[in-house]
Amino acid sequence: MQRRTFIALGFGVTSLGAASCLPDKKVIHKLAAIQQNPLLIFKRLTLGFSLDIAADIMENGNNEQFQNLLINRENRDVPVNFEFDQDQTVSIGETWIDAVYRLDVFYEQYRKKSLRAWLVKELLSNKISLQNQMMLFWLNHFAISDVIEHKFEYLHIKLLHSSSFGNIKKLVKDVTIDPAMLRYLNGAENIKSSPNENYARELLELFTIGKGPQIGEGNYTTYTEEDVRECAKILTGWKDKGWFTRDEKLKPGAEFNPLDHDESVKKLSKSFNRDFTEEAAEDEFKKLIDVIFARKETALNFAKKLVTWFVGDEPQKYELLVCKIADILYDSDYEILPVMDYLTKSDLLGNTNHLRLKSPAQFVLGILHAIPVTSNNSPKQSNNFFYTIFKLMSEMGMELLRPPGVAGWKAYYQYPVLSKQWINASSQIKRTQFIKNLFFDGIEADDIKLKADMVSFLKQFKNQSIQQVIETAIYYFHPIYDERFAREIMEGLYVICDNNGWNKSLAENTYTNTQLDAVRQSLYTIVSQPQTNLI
Amino acid sequence: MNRDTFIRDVLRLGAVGATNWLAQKVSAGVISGALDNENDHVLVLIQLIGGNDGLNTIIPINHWDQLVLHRGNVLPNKKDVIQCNNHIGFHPSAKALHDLMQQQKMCIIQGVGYENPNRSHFRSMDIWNTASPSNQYWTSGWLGRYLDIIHPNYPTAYPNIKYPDPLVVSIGNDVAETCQGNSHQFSYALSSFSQLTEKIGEQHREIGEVSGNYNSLIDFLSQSAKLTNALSGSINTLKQKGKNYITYPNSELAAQLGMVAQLINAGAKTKVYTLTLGGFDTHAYQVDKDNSNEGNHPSLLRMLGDSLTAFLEDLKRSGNHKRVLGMVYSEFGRQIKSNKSFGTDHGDAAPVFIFGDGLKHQNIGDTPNILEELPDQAGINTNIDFKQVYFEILQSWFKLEQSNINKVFMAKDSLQKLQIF
Repeated sequence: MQRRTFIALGFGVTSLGAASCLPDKKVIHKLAAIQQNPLLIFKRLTLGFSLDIAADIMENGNNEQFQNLLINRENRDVPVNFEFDQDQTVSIGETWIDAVYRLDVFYEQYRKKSLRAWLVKELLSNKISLQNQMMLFWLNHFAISDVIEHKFEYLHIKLLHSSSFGNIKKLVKDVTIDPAMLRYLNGAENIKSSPNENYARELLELFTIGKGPQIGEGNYTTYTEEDVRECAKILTGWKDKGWFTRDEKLKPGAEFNPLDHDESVKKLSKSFNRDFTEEAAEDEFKKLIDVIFARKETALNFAKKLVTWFVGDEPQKYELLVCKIADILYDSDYEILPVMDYLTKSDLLGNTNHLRLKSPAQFVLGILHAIPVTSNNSPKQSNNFFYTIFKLMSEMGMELLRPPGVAGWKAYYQYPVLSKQWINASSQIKRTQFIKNLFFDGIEADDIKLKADMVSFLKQFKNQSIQQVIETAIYYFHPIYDERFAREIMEGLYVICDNNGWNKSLAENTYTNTQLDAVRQSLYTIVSQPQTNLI
Repeated sequence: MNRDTFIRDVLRLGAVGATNWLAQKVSAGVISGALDNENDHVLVLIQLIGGNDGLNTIIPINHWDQLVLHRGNVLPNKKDVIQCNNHIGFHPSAKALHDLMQQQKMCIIQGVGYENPNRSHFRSMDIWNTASPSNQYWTSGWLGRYLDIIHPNYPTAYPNIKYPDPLVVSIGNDVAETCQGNSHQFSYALSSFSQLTEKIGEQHREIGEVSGNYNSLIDFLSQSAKLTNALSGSINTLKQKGKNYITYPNSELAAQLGMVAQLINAGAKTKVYTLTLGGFDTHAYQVDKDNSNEGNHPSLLRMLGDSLTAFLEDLKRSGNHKRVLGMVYSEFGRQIKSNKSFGTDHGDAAPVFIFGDGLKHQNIGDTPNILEELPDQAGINTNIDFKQVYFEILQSWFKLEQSNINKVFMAKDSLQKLQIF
């Protein structure tokens, strides 16, 4: 439905704008809620976007923005040292990702902070990005945590980011020997003389084929305990390198030690349909992953996780979609783009019948994408702002790079609570406070506090009426358009000046303080509604 | 109250007109199904996050030579170890803990763990918090299942006259996994007293007919906001009323225990408080390179001991000491052999501390035996199952009947008592 049409429907009239044109209350009540939301698809595919894009989608339809979604951004900024003055190898403003360590300087805390500020900045950097949403999906999927060598963390994020639109099978191969993963799930300790099954178990149970119902002792339908043991043997010999090294020439990465590799014949169970007796040492793990991905259950497991992530809490309700996506994955040999292409066209993605609670990332970043804060800050101030945002999301229950378990955040798998997991006394209060601070008291950024900037906010709209601004905001922040609520907001704004007055200000981009305060108050009212928690 | 919950309540109570309003007028005991023998006892849980190096907390000094062999670079100076008996001594930084033990306010239980230990932080913490066997995944916590028995209708008609306060207060941003019931989380997450005056919007606008789950989610948010606002209000009243009778040392844990004491001193009806202390994942530099008496881990032990000492003294002065019991635990201990970075890696069993008044013993469980020859990565063997400690808390502290204790553990048989009380 075109935007004009449903606005007209909502009002029951064709002429828009003036309060006097509004129909009587009876008609409004009947048509109070509009359940089609042209922005919902985009909200679910991204971590938020700017409102010029929202206005464009509402005005001109989807097509161009779908194209923008699929842009693969190669060049990214790198994390920098923005405030620590005791790192003799990395001065302020420079990056530490290739810097050598020295004895007796404790780098860990500043780099931890720097990396996290950078991550939030990256997640907010694009006007609209499916890639960032995919990266968060992978951070949840592989769920690395507690890796205190931040160069490793950086490499991990870089890998996930650059693979966002690539091939899942290749990504799993890369992650298997990713230094952060070799540390996190003890792959580095998995050697011939003392195998460590940690990674092998999660590779099967969580990262690829998934655990089916237990149908016998040690038999989980899709794989067996014996498979875990045999896979661990196949994976032996890989070790991370460069962990806090002081050797300038040793770059972080992974290496294969043939002496630690188990060369015996490994036999996988019938679950995998064929025996696995390769002895190709270094490349053996790749062949193992090929075998796992040859099973259709693997495609099904990824389809379930993708649908849960993008569409809604309970994938069993969308079985057809899950099956279709599994087919697409399997037929394309696990390419991500065909899946995304199909998802963007799925009716379910924009359907308001199945809503869920936004994760802290969706909530906080979604708001910040649309509501700019005062700019012209020093790098130290901006980076501290981004770090504050990182901490806020952590306090709301989503600490990036530290999910509560190897299965990721519980909101994506723990029945029956699911996305309601995100809400408790403290987190609900934190959400309330975040909005209040953003609009009125400011959010901590080193020595200053940053507040929502209404002039920059309004700049996102070109040739639009104040009513269109408010409508766009409501469609962006709320899943369902509440006509009566919109009318109340508009009535408040028309107290300040009439439609012509607003049009003039918008066209000239100059406002009185009273106008800006009114917009601030209106936006605050919209964003602070409970609906803003739903997606 | 929506129609569904209304009907559910009526069916459950067998009474017509059991609305929220009525629930607050009639005896809350009937509404909640509370057990008659429920007492006013309080439990304070302190979770040491990361895996506490038990061997450097309670040191088995009868094996000193072996310890020097395996972990010489993290051991404190022998002459500074505070000797407790012929077998064990406290790390010099744990003097306050030692003093609490001498004053019979603390009991150490050595070698606590579980069968088939898991060395993943998360998995092991899950096992401790859900009290599941190590090969099973449970989704509710052991105290959540206990609270489910006492409060089967929670959160309908809460708070009420009998239970005006949160049943569980978790200090920090997160609710406690231990207090996740089968369908509801019992804890109110209190990150600071300043949150108490923050009202969450309870608005539940009628927007006409919409299909799907929109209304049920808005309902959930507004119910949750109402419960939180009401409980914030009760805690705020307690906070105004309660005070601390001593000055707490300057640390985050001490400040948090001070908050807990303030609420207890004000007469809070809260049954369980949960706290966490991070920093125990001491893979590197747990002690200073040039002074192994000091460093990150010793600082944590000192902070723990000083905070607990202040807390217990506060409760004593307010006269609440007899109704508060505490337990300090961690997801695992650390390996016997230290690493070359002056740290220790994930291990197995470790000591648990019980603190409070009226403890029968001060030292339960055998002192770990440290052999001269050890395989790499050896941890301390489990001597006592942590579920035995929980069992005794439920039975002797909360006075839960055996049949209900079995429900908590989803087991048929009683566990062996440790005689803590």
